[in-house]
Amino acid sequence: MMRGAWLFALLLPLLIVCVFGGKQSQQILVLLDDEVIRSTHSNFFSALAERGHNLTFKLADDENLKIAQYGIFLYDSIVLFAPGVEELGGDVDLASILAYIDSGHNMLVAASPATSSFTKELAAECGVKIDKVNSYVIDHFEFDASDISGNHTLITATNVIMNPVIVGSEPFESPILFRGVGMKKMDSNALVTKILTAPTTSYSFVPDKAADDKLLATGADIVLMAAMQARNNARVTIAASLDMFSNALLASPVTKLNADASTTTFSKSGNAQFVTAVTKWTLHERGLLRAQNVRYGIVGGEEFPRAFRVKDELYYKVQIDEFKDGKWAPFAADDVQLEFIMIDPYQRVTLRHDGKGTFFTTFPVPDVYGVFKLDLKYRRLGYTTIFLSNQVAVRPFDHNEYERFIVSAYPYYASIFSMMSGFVVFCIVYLYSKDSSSKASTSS
Amino acid sequence: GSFDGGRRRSTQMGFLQSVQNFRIPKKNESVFLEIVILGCIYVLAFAVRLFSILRFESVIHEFDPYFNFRTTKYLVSQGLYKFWNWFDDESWYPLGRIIGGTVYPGLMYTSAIIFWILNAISLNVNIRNVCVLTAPFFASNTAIVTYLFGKEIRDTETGLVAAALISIVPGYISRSVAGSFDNEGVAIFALILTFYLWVKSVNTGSLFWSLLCSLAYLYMAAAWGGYIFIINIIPLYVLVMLACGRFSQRLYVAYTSMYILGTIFAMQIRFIGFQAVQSSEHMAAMGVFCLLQLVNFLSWMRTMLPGDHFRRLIKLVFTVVGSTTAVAVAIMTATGYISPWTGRFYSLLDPTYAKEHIPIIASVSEHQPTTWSSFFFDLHLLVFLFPAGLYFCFRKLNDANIFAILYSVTSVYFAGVMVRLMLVLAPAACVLSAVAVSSTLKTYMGHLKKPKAVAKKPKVDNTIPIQREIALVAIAGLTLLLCLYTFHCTWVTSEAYSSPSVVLAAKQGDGSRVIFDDFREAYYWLKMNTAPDAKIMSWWDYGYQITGMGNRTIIVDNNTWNNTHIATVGRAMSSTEPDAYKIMRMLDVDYVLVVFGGLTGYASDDINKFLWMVRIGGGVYPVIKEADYLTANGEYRIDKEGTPAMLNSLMYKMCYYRFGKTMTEYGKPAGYDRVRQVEIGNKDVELEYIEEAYTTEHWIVRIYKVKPEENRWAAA
Repeated sequence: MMRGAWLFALLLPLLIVCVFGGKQSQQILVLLDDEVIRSTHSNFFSALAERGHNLTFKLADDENLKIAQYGIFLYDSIVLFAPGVEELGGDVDLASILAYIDSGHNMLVAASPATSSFTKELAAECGVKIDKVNSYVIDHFEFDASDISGNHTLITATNVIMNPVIVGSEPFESPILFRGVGMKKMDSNALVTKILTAPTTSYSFVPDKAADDKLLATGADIVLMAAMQARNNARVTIAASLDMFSNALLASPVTKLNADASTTTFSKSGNAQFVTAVTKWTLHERGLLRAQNVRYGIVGGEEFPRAFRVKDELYYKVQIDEFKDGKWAPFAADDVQLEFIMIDPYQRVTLRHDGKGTFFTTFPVPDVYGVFKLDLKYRRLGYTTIFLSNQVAVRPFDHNEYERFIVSAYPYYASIFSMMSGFVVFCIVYLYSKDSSSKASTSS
Repeated sequence: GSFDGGRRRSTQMGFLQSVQNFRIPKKNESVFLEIVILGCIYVLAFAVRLFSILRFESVIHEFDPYFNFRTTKYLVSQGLYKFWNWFDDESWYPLGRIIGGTVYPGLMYTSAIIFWILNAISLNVNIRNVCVLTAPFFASNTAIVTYLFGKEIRDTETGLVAAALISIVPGYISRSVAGSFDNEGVAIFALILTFYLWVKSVNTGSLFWSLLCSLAYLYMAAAWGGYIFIINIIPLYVLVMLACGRFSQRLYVAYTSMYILGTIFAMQIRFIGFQAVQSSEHMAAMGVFCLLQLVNFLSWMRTMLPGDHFRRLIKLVFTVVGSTTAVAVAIMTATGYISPWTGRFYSLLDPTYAKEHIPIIASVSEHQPTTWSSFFFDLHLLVFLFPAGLYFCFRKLNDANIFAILYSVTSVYFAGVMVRLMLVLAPAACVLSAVAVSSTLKTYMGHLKKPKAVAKKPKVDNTIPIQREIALVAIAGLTLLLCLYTFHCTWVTSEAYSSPSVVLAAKQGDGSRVIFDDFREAYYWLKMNTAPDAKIMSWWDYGYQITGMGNRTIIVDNNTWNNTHIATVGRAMSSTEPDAYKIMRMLDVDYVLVVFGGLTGYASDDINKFLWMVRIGGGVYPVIKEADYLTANGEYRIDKEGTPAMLNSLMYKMCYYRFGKTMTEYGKPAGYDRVRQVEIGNKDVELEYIEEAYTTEHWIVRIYKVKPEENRWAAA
């Protein structure tokens, strides 16, 4: 039974990672609320297709829309570029989209100032709050000079998250052009990451109106792009702007007005670089970890023993790979930890690795019997979570595993044997000696 | 001894003519009769315990027997060494339990040996059937041993009557019906055997019998924690004998050899180990042992020394020995070398102790003080014959009788403290009642006998008139009473003590029987539908059954060795859903199992046990307060008047989920609880952190699955 248990525990995370991770050519469903987006955002879509993905375009309210057939999901990922759609077509509703996420699939969602309640609810289910209809993120300092309307809704954002796994390791030379609605991270959800936040001087409100004090958020609290990586490693990225993916903004030059009224011009916005990086991450083309081949046992002894004995030296080995540039490569990190838990952790050790992806350690089993778990929980921003749990029993010494002869007990051994021999001698003397006194008494 | 009355009756009953013509020598005749009677008793004792098999099936009963059954199966399949070293990772998750070191293995060894023997002689019986029938088999053996005990205390007739009485006494049957595979089943046999051999060794002063006595004591120590009773009553007996001035070399040989050998033997049981010389419960025996040496030494010195020297010596010895003992005991207790008395022992001495200090002991129904009615229920006629027996014992005081008196008086006390210990009283009551019955019968039967040869001295005084008639009336009355006793015992056995309690039966309106097999249904569901390493949380009562029948890991079970762990489960059951969820996550719980009787009227369900969970949980975690679950008037209510803590506790929600819409009884509103006889207070129970996984046919067992953590949400 124990063997079955470890096998099960070992295979489960593997299965999840293998099924949903690292698929270079994906079936992607693109849902639009207007056929026009297909042409206005064609560069973005063709970039996706160039990476090997198979895109299926559908109108979001297409009445034949279906994402699952016979209980099997038809697409690996969904790009939801339909901020205005009130209801999805076919029998697809919010619950089925959430079920789609909960079964480990990824989504890229774009919002806009005309976001429907459907998209808002979807965002809220993922821990992101989208501002009121018709409100924009406005910044009267950090805006692109091409925005001549005076509303300053085309802002230049530079607060990209410092995480090479999500946005790539290359620095952003030019600012990212953004025109869209404001969003806020719900603080009660720890799974949400802010990928792009607004400049500190911005606020989110309806243009042309005087801002009151009921703002959703201001400054860096405004999230322009957020990502939620669920516990099952499904990634949902929510962009507050549909426009930032458009051909226009991807290729547009940026002219920033400086404080001294001079201008700084960038030949090309950072949008293309940013969007490409984030989509790669969202669609599980990057930032995947997989752990496999867990082996543990007694050093110099049995592997996967029925039970460990207290004070045994335990070894633990696991192969961890990272999905990078389209293939699995050995992962390297110095902060992977293993815990030996029975309600509380009795051991917490950092694993060493050999540079080929094998992480290993040895430690002595504590002098406490019970049912322990070997838990490896590795959660790092940008990477998928590794959670391995193997249940092992720790038993006390068997009756024949104790030391047989202990030096300090030699006095006791001596006393036992002297006692035994003394008793034998006494018996002999007692039984075979003549009792002179009793003889004397009987004779008298 | 003679057995004229019996012989007379048997001939009167009319044997076949040929049998009557066949005459065996008189002495052999009585032996033959004894054997026949004992044979009948042997069969009767076995047969009367088979009601449960005939009514239900060959199945293990109740809770603890399931653990014994599971361990026996392990012993049979894995062998002695594996059993000795068995570390069980299926119970007490995640603590585990060293089974080999925490059980009294006597029962398992016994049934395993029976199994091996039967299979060795090609009787291929199932281990379950061996386990089911072990208790009745040992009840038969107990009857034989009681016969020997009675014979040793008084005479053959007493022995025969005692054997007959004990074969059907309800107080003993309650723990030894077929299927009741519990330690007590073999322990009572071992207890009586030890007492018989003890009395024998005191009577004879023979080393041989003392050795046998300590072997019987070993068996008792291997079988049941009640061996403590033996190791305290025998020293008490020695003390009383010393006080009566009945010190003899026989007593000295019997006690010293029995104590030394018995203690060494008992130490071989892993669960006892060094307790046999260290724990307070065993100190009295050691003290008496030392005292006996002293007394023996002094009585020898007395023959050697002149009077005044001897008195000086006595003074010296008493001051020296007294002060050194006191100091030694004080030091050893302070340093913890002598372990303090356990809670169960305290509650034996002070019945109110458990109620105030240890809810986990008080919560067990068999640890409750005994009511008068249950004395009568379990002993019937013996309640009245017992004092008469005491009287007869006092009339003819000897070493053996003193032991019988002591045994019975102490066991009456213990039976009064704990219902469970009625079991210890039952044999004592049988033996003393047998003394009364046989003495009375013998007296009056003597009157019935026609005076024989004139040469013989007439035993009875013939001066009183109509003594034959009086004797007839007395005998008839006693016979009637004994018949009533027989009927009572049979009735009690069939009605009260033959229910397996895993399978429940109830009478329907038209008199037909309906069977509730919900427990096994639920355990089988667990076995077939959950992951092999799934952890089940339930109140500890069901732990043994879940591991025994469902083969799944459980958090706590009936071996209540870790109060904190049980309190944690109690706390989870009495908390609100979110709080309970945290505890269940911590303990890796996959399923929660509750027993609910509201639909069928099964009264011993978890709602009725709930206050104990609150108390035990609150005993360790003060956040749980009993007062929160009781109304302002101190009532325990589940209807609209119930407190919010009660109506929102995990236990309440699990029991009454979907119950608010269920019609249970004609003419009552939906959600009418048939045990508490009220309409429940929280009718639309909604579950957030757990979901219903399975509910049995009559809703007696409900299983809930603990949901995994929210996929898209994590508390910051």
